[in-house]
Amino acid sequence: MKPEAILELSATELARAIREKRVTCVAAMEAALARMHAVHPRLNCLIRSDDEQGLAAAHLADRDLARGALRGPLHGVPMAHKDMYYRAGVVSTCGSRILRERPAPSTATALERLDTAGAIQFGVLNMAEFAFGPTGHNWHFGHCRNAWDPSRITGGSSSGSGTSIAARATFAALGSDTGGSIRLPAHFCGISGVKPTYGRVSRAGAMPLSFTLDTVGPLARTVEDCALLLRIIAGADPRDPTCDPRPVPDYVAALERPIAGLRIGRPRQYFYDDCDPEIAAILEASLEEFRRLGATVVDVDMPDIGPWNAAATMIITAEAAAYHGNWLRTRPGDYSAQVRGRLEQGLSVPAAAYLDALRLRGRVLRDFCAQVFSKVDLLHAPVVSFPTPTIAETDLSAGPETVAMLGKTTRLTRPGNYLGVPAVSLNAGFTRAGMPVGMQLLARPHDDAAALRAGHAFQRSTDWHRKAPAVS
Amino acid sequence: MDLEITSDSILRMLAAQGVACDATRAQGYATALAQMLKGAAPGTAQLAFEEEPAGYLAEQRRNAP
Repeated sequence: MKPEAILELSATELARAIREKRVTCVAAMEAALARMHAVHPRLNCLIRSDDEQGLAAAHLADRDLARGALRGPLHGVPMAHKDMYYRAGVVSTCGSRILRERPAPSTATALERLDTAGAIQFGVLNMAEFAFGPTGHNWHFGHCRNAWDPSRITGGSSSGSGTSIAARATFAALGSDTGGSIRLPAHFCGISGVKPTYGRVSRAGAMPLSFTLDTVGPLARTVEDCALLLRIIAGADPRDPTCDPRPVPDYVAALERPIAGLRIGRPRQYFYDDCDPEIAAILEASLEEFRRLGATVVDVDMPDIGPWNAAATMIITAEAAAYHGNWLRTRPGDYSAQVRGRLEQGLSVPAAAYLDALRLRGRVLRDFCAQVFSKVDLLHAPVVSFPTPTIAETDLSAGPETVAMLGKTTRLTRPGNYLGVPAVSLNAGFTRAGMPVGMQLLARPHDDAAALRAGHAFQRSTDWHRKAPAVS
Repeated sequence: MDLEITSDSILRMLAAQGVACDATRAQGYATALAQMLKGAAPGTAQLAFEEEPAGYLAEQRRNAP
């Protein structure tokens, strides 16, 4: 198979092709490395590539396969990940200047599980500094650029993951989502991503931002790939006490169940306030596709979501400030102005207000499930309500304009983090300007399978996820 | 709720935590903090006396399918 044909495969398809010996692990790795090096100068998606290690591991994987030793469901699939998943003794920059030379203290559980499944990591990807930014700007490593239009933002904080998957330079990547950092790049870059239920995937060995809201999840070309990766990385972990002990469902097998009869909610309030008409039309067309597949679309009333966003912002800024307190005191000049400003802000949050924001969370989830998930199985909503801005338009340092821009960008994703519910994001179509538009499907806590199943059904009957940007 | 948080109080609070800050930034933090507190107030006003932070995990388990 030619490199271009290999790169058009999803991770699931590539894994199958390797198992069936139609593609070698080395050929897949060479194709991924060549594409990554070809697109990086234009997209600035890479922080470090480990070509020799990647190729050596691919040779070993081919030898294993030749003697009948299949490591797991991702045997030989090349991947690069957001540079915040630690490997013991190896630098994880976390997109920062501060951690540019510090060897990581441990290996992330998510990476260990992908290694065991046979995936081969060949590099680490650009990201927002300390995962604290939703646009894809990075003032230390350079701003990440969108594969569909390099003048436009990728979304963040998993910026390099989003744009390199769109450019077919990696078959999948780990991201993280504290306020929208998986769903936003999936939306802006036209790919798929899943923010799992809070506690579903271990955070051990992943850079912390906000322990109350952080989630670890995959981005990939298809929802099927996301289901496969989630099945591999999810599950109890003694290294992360917040990790849920319940058994991990077979998310891939669950994809095969039809969605006829599934009740999909369309929010009457909040999510479509001031929504760009073209985005609203694309979302409406995607609902029509779900109807065609046999799902029922139900209009549902939303609770008052505004206070949750304020509460979530308090939690994120206060917890992030606690993690960064020592460096704010000793190395303030090593932060970009935007990230330093947001962290310093967290130092001013009163303890009682922070605790109230935590106390409110249980009640909010209870009320939301009673009001919404008693009537529907999934909530369908836009990820972002405005057209993809340029990097220049959103290149703000600090100040009131920054606060407004950041709040607007995460307005539709942050509620999912505060609720802690699973949310799958996938491409629903393109604007007339050729930019992708995503939808998000939110489900009850621990019903990640329902959101994945609906997303997969949509992709089986449409071809938006097959469209790729020009790479030259 | 009409909240007024001064940049001076923010400057002192950050200084007490060992973080140097200028007046312009402190003014921005004061405004943003007031907005956050005001924004969350309608939610926290409804909290029952006994509501605990750990209540979230119980609700998560209770609402799982």
